[in-house]
Amino acid sequence: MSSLRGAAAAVGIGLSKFGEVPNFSYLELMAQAVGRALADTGLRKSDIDGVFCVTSPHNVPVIGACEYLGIKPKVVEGTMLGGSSFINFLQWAALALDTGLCEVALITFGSDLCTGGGGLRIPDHPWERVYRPRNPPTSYALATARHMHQYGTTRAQLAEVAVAARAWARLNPAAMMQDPLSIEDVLAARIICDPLSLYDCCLVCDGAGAVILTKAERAKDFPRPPAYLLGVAADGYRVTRMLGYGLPPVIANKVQIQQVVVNLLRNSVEAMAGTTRREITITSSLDGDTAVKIAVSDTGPGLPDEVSSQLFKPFVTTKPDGMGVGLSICRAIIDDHGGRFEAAPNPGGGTIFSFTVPTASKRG
Amino acid sequence: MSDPTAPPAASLGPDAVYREKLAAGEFCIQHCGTCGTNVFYPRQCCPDCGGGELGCVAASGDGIVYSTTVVRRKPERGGDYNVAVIQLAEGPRLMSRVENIDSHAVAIDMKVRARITEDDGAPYVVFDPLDGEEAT
Repeated sequence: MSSLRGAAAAVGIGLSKFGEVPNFSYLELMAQAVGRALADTGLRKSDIDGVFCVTSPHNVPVIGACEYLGIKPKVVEGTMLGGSSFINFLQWAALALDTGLCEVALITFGSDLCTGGGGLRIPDHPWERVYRPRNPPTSYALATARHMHQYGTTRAQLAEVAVAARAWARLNPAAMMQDPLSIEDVLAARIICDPLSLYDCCLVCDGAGAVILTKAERAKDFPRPPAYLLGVAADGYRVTRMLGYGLPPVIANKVQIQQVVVNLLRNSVEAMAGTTRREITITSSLDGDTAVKIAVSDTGPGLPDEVSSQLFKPFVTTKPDGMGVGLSICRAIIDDHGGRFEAAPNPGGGTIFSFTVPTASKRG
Repeated sequence: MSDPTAPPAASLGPDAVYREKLAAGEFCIQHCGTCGTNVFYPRQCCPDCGGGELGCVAASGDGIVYSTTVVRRKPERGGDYNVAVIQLAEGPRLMSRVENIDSHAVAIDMKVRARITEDDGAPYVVFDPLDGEEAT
């Protein structure tokens, strides 16, 4: 497949009034944004023949938006992926332009979350709603608490995100929040869902945005300098952990073993780049009576025979930019622990790397 | 007395089977007969291998707290409450709540055990701490 790099360009952008905008509907705000984006380009509304759109209150937004705006597109797309929807649309808009499905693509979003009763939501999910998570913060809080536990991340480190976002906002006259914000402010603010405070949480605002894209060849004919789309991706890995319970303790150098696991995970991720099924499974189990076995399996293309036979030789690699030293170091670490390091084909396709570490009692 | 016109249990979807078992006091997960993966929440086919041989098996009820948060709420609106993710001994994780402990004292790695409770007649699973024990 040919690359979409540089195939399309933004030739017009528009924003509605932002922040708390009572007395305007999300469609009215959207129409403001679309009007301003069109004004950038000199195009007419009737030139738009591709519409890629989501809105805050509706899960079938694109039909209503086209009717409201009076646009009759040849291509529509309205997949709701939350706040990443519009980035995801870039990919499909570029593809539609590149293949000639449409000539002028409009990506737009309209929200009335601030005054329209957006607030926190208990999800309509039978397995979760009885526990009354108030999303988005509760779900993010659970992920954050686990991250802090597992990696030693601190609230102050995470507060850097809010502090940086505010610093950017202060460069934008249209931003809702303009006061300086410090790490201390974030830490001292009211907790919403432990460990997240008010400032860790996303701002909710009314407003709309619009971007108009054309094929790159046409882009330089418009009044404003075009912004070329160089790359966009949507991705998802599924990581399954089936970790054994009640396993005996092992004596190991924690940092070295982490290094091995991270190396194996990175190999799995890289091996699966470009494949359609991307699953990593990590298991731990008892290996006989005297060792614990950790296995990382992926669903990548598997190892070619010529590589399998020299897997642990330094400087043998299948990666275009790899050094070929990762696995030989992994094996040295495991050898040093008195364990065994192995690679085997995954029966469902892909590769299973595993290693054992002797239990503490075995070592005595 | 059983209703002779009632459909056989096999005519229930996985979700309905789960709820029926729960109402009868049994907390079940699914086990994939093809690849051996344990599955929660109940599904029509295995999220791992895609196989359709998902059997309902009793969960041990044992688990550890994988993550925990306290949803802050004003006292006049009912006060703070716990939301947790529990990792079951069988492997799957689920959202739940740890009860019979101060919501702020729930800690990651704490050993917990499932209990079926209900809200407006609808049964669901919560967890209680196993006193003073931490997972190893």
